[in-house]
This record gives sequence, C-alpha cells and structure tokens, in this order.
Amino acid sequence: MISFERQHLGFILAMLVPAFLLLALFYIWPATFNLWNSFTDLTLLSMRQGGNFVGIQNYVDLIRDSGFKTVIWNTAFWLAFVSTLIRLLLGLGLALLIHSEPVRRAGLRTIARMAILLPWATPPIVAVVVWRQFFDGQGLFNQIFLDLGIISEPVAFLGNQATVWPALLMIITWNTLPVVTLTFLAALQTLPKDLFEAAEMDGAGTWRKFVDVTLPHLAPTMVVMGLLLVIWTFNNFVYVWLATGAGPGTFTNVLATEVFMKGFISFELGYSSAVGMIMVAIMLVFGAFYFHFVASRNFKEIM
Amino acid sequence: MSTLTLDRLSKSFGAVDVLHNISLDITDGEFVVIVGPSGCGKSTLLRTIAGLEPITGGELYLDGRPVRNVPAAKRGLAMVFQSYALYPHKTVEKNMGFALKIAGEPKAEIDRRVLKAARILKLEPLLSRFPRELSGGQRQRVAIGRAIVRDPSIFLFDEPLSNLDAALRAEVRVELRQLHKNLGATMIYVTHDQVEAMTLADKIIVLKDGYLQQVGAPSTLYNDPDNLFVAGFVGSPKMNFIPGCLRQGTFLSKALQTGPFNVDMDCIDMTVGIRPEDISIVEFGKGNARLKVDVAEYLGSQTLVHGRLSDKTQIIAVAPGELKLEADAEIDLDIPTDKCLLFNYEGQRVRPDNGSGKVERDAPSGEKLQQVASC
Amino acid sequence: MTVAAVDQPRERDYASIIGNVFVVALAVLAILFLALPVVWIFVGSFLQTGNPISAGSMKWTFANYRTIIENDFLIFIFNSVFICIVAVIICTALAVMVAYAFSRYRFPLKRMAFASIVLGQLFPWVILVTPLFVMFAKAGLLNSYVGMIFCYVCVSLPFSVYMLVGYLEAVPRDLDEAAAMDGCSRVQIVLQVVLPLMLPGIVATATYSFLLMWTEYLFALAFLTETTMKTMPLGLALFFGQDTVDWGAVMAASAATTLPALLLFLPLQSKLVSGVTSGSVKG
Repeated sequence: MISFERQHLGFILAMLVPAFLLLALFYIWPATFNLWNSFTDLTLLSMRQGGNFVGIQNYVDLIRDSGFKTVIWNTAFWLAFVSTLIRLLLGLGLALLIHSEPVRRAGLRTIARMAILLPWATPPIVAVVVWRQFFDGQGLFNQIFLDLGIISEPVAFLGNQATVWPALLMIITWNTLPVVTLTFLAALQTLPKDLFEAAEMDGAGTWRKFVDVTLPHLAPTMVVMGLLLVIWTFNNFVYVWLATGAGPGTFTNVLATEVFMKGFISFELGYSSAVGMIMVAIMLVFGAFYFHFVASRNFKEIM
Repeated sequence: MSTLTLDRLSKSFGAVDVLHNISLDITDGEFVVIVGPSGCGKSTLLRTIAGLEPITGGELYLDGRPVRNVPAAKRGLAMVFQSYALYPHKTVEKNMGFALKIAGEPKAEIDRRVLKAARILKLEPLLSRFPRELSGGQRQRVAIGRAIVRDPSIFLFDEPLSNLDAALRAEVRVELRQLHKNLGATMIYVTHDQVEAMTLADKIIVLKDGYLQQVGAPSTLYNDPDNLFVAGFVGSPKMNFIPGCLRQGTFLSKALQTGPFNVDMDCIDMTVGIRPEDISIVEFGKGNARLKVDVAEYLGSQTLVHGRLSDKTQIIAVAPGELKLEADAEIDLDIPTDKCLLFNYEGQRVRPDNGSGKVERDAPSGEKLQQVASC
Repeated sequence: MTVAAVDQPRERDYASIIGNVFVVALAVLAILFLALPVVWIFVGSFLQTGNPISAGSMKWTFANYRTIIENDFLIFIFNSVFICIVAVIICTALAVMVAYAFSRYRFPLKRMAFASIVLGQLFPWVILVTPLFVMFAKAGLLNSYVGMIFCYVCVSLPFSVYMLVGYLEAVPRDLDEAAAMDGCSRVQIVLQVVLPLMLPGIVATATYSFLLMWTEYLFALAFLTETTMKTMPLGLALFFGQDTVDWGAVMAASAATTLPALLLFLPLQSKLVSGVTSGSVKG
C-alpha cells in the first residue's frame, strides 16, 4: 500500500473522479432531489412551477394511511422475512443433499450442480413468465391438481388472495435459490476434515456431528447470506411487479412497487419520494451492518 | 558506480517512527549489509533508498545529488525482492529484459545483455520458461539476473535468501560474494541473519528499533562492539553477559572477579561480556569462575558447554574436541580479563581508553557508593 | 458374539439402503424443480401453443420465432447487445481504475469512498427512477442509448469495483514495486504488469456486469418507451396482450433472452460463487 503523498494526488484523482462523478450523478443527485420532493406536494400537474413546501405532511399521510401499513407488512413479513427464511432453509437442505454421500455415489452431484445453474442464469422476467404459465388457468399446476382431484375447477393462483403470496414466493425462491445453495456448497467444501475425525473419535453420531461441526462452520455464511437476501429482496421491484402488478388490487403491494406506482403511474411525486426516503433509511441501516460486518472485514488490508 | 549518502534520514508511518536520524556513507563498490532483528526498520531503510517509500525527514544523496523527490523508476537502482517478484506472465527472458524494454533499448541490445547476464548466472537453458516452471533457487537467480541486466549503479537486496533451504543458502551466499567481486558494483543487502551479514559484508550496519547501532567491518563488530545489542547480535553462539559492579578497576560479581581494567570509574551496574570461544575450561581450582553444567552439546570439532555460574548467570563456553560432561558437574572456567568487554548500565560499551568520559554520567551518588563498597 | 449381534448390521444395512434411496429420490426431485422451468421454456418455444401440456400441441414448429422476428425482436436484440457491450466496456474500465486506486494507494476519505461503493450495491434503484426520468427528460436522454448506457454503467459500477478490488488483492504488491524499480511509470505499471495479471478477474467482472445489464428491466421499462429502442426483457413483455397471451411467442422470446445468459454463466459459475459470500455478486 502506497502511503498518501501530495505527488500521488493527481494520479489518484484521475483514477477516481470519472467513476465517482457518474455515480454522484446517478445516485446522489436523484436521491437529493427525492429528499427535497418528499417535503413538497409535487405532482405531474405542478411539475413546471414546482411543488409547494409542505413540511413533513407526506410522512404524516404515510403513517395515517392504512394501505401503507399493508405495504410495510408485505415488505417486511413476506418479502424480507418469510422469503429469506425459506431460501436459507431450502438452500441449506439442498446443499447438504448435493453434498451427501448417496447423491455422490448415484452420480448425481455434477448433474445437480448443472441443474442449479439453470435458474440462476434465467433472467428474472423470464422466470416470472414461465411460472406465470405454470400458475395459469390452463397451466401445469391446474392440470395436475385437477387430475388429482384436489381442486374441481381451475384456480388463478396469482389472482387469488389465498394463493398469491405462496405463488410469488415460489417464483422468487426458484430464481434465487441457486446463489444460496452454491454458497452453502462452497462452505461445505471447506469443512475441516480433521474436525469430523476428532468428533468421531469422541464418539459423536451423524446428528451430533452435524450440530457441533457442520452448523457452526456454516453459521457465518448463513448470517451473511441472510443479510444479503433480505437486502436484495427488499429492494427488488421486478418479481412483484411482473408477477402480480402488486395485485390482486393492491394485495401484494410492497415498498418498491409503491414507489414506482405513486411516482411513475399516478405521479404523486411528493408522496412517492417520501416512501422512497423510507426505503433509503432502511437501506442505510442494513448497509451499515453490511459494511461493518462483511465488507470492511473482507478488505481489511485496503482500509 | 556510485556513492550513497544518508543524512539524518527519518521515516514514520503516521504516528509511528520507524527510522530515526540515520546518517550513513556508502562508498563505491562496497558490499553493505543492513542487519537487525525483525521489525527494526531494515527493510524500510532499503525501501527508502530504493524510492519505494518516501522519507519523512532528512535527505538522501546519490552521487552527491539529492534524490528525495526522485521516484523509484528514475533512481537507476535495481532491487532483488524477498519474494523475487518475477512477473508471472513473462518468460525468464522477458522478465530479465523488461527494464531495458521500458527504457526503450533496441531489441538487439536487450538480447545481448540478457544473454550476458544469463551466462553469468547459468540461466541460458531456462530463458524461455515461465517463473512457475522454475525451482526456488532458479527463481532467485532470475531475480538477480533481472538486476544485473540493468547494470545499475547500486544493487539492493531485500532478504533474498530467506526463501531458500539452508544448503542452497550457503551456496548462493558464496556466489553472491563472487558476483560482487566480478561486477565491482555497490550492493546493499538486508538480512536478519547475522551469519549472512558476517560472511558477505565489507561493512555491516546494525539497526534496532529504527536506531543505528553501529556501522563497521564484520571484524570490528565482532571484536569491538559499541553496545550490548551489537555484542549480543553478532557472533554465534552468542556472547555471554555477566552482571556485576566495577570498583577501582576491578569487576566484581558473586560469581566472578576479574581485572584490572584500565577504567577510572566506580559503577554498581556494570556488565561484562565474554565470547564463548574466549572462555577456556581449566583444571579444577585454577579458574576464576565456577560453572555448574546443564548440558554439553557435541558438534564434532567442538563442544558447547551450557551451564550456570553461582549467581545463576547462564553461560556458554566452547571447548575444542569432544568433552564428556554429566549434568550438574562442576567445572572451572578461565575468563581472561583482556578478552572481557565492559558495558555500562545503559548497555553502552565502556572502553579502557575512553572510560573517563563516562565517569561524569555515572558519577555515583553517596548511596550508590555504599552499594559499590558492599558488593 | 451372539447371533443377534451378527444380524444387527444387516438390519442397519436395509435401513441405510432405504435412507439412501430416499436421499437420492429427494435429489432427483430437486433437480426436476430446478431444471424443469428452463426446459419448459425451450420446449415451449418450439410448440405452437407455447405450452407443452396443452392439448394437441405436440407439433414442432419455428412459427414462434418467426412471429417474434416479425415483431421487431431483432431490433430488441441489437439494442440489448449494443447497450450492454458499450456499458460493460465503460463500466469495467472505470472500475479497474477505481479498484486500482483503492487497492494500492492510501488517500484521505478512502474509507468513506469505499463505504459509498458498498452502499451503491445495496441501493434501492426504484427510488431513482422518477428523478432520473425528470433529469433525462430535460437532457433529452429518454429513449436514447446514451441514457441507458449511463444507467447501466452506474448500476454495475459498484459491483464491479468491489469484485475487482478482490481480484487485485491477489496480485502481489511486490510486482508493482518491481515494475517501478524497472523504470515503469504509474500508468505503465497498470498496463504492463497489473492488467495482464488480473485479466481473468476482469473477464469475470465484465461477464457479470453484462449479465446484470442483460436482464435489467426497471430502467428499461421507465426510460425506453419507443418500440424501436426497447431491449429484450422489455420486448418480451410486449407479447403479453391485454387479455390474451401469445405463449408461443413469449416462450420463444424468453428462450432467446435466456440462452446468452446461460452460455455466459457456465464458464463463470465457480468465480461467481466465491464472489457471493464476499458480497460482490448479486443473486
């Protein structure tokens, strides 16, 4: 690492300025614009003359709005909590499955690793498209369930309040499970073998070895992965928007779709900006955690 | 060929000072070894000379020209790194010729000089190989070759042998010495190994905690060290140190009485240093110190006797040939006064001729005088 | 030893065989779950109805591909390829510069600069859409390549920097110093020594950026309203009618969008996995 000297300043600036200028233009300027707007009653109609300053009225409206409570619940419970939990558990299970001895002996390990790449490489919009067909009135699920006699007439899985969240989570899980699984698999491959042998010498059975050796080894990966999944899903707009359009009605509306709909469709820019600022605030909390516990530890040398 | 002068050079990383006011002259064609324990700042000193670390105080002169603000690329020095730092994506030939290519030398000239260096180092059969295809020793040669090709005014070596096994290290040491003789270039060499320092150097620079301890020829450092640190660092096995006091020119401790020293001072906190090879084992009852043996290590040509004096001071003595001793056996040692070195309470050497200079600083108080009298 | 004790292992053998069969069956199910939708897309794209289970559809056809080509899909392909390639080149070049400064130099506010890069990876892009729309409208960048390239460079720049810093840390700093001793200027060190050594990392980063951009939907949706400017993910959505869906065309367009991503993913997967836990890769 080269210590800071005035003679290096020109070179360092030349390396950093172009990129950071673009980033400021893309992130900081719009975010500031948002922050200001969130204190105004700006709409499409008042775009020309600019909105009036209304203080924290937009934020007050938000808190009073019962629809916004649903949005928060949907985002926090379904997207952040349930979907993350499902993917962590399924991802861990799948990784253990692929890593297991019988699967290796059956020659399925390589096939499974290839199969995992398929959902990962699938663009989110394509994932949504194919699953929409599965959930369609003439789709795969209706066919199967009708044939099995579980249902008597076709169900619009994505249009029904009882089934829309599970269906949505299924799409998200399918598309993003590979990252989780492959990360756990990579961690499993670094399991210290001598620790297992030591546990065996101590008379530990399969379950004890899993609890006392495998799980503690995977714990840090789980924490990082969990944090990342929460952040990614929290920010994600595509799945909900393309699968349900926040519907039926606004039943699956989440923060990201709320910002988009209010800002880009009904042009209540002030209100949309206020929602956006709440997203930024939450993101900053996650970001601080992430920076402190993951990023600055991974790159200790350069800090 | 050139001379290098360091004038009160200092270097700090933030609030941590790693080099303090180092002043030095390195003359043309010298083989200079910078030696010291790890963390003493020796590598940093080399890197400031190379221009890889900016200095925070003082000045550096190359042939009388201040080079403080001259970047590494323009100083015309060549460096052999501890890790060798060979470019993994270039062949041996390209590695060696890279500096010339950057300097814009014509291809024929590059080829000629690379080939010449390769011949000196017997690297010709390896020229088209990549570094990953070479052994540790071969990589080391290429790193040296890369420096030779440059025909630099000064060669810098940063612990170049530390990644080699012991046998190879001894071999390369001899070759380096020969190379220096053949090229006649100035070489500055950093190591933590005092054996390397003693065998290679025309001049040794001993550093500790960023302070210059002593500069001198290997024999000077061995025979006439300036302080306890240098005395203990140079020579193997290490010099023995026996604490005691000095009274009227005689060294007194519970275990040893020796003198007279031509030193005009009384001091309650004095240390005598004696090299293991200067101690002789004498007939029981005829020595000036008695040793209780811990263990005797037989090395073939000699035997190292480890033991303790009556005041528990650890002592190593060297006896020629094989000497069979039981643990806890008692033997008598002759510690000759003329081989003893005196060090004051600060660890500074008290020389017989300049001893009077130290008296003032050591002027014993009344209380101290009493202690001296009683010891 | 008793007879029962001899028999016991055999019973355990049966139990473990059943257990093994169960585990393998689970694995087969998991593979089906993962692979089926993708197989479905490619099979469906060659069927008139686009749906392999709908009655009387099992006749192979290229009609769906003909349909999407007749509906401007080639233009979408060109738009996607052009925007993504230009953006990847710009983004990777900028990211290499930033990553090099981060990895090799100390400078004031460095921790903050690095933190902002990390936050950029976690930023909710959706809140930028409206302000950027206003900005683009004023600058005449709606429905333009420049606008989209700007967005995509900025979207993947934080990820690229983070990934490249990781790769740069694997190039020993001794080599930079050796090059400096060999007379290289700062720029020569980067071009002649560091770049060739981190080329695999640069390729991985660029590929990942490309995938991020290739599948991007939000900004394309907001800023590309003219049909001739649309990218593939956006063009794909065009085949969803108001009331009816031409599943055949949708499947063909999906297959066309997925195939390049799939081909790029295969060689890259092991590198991406190691990037995930360090947080440089998004799922």
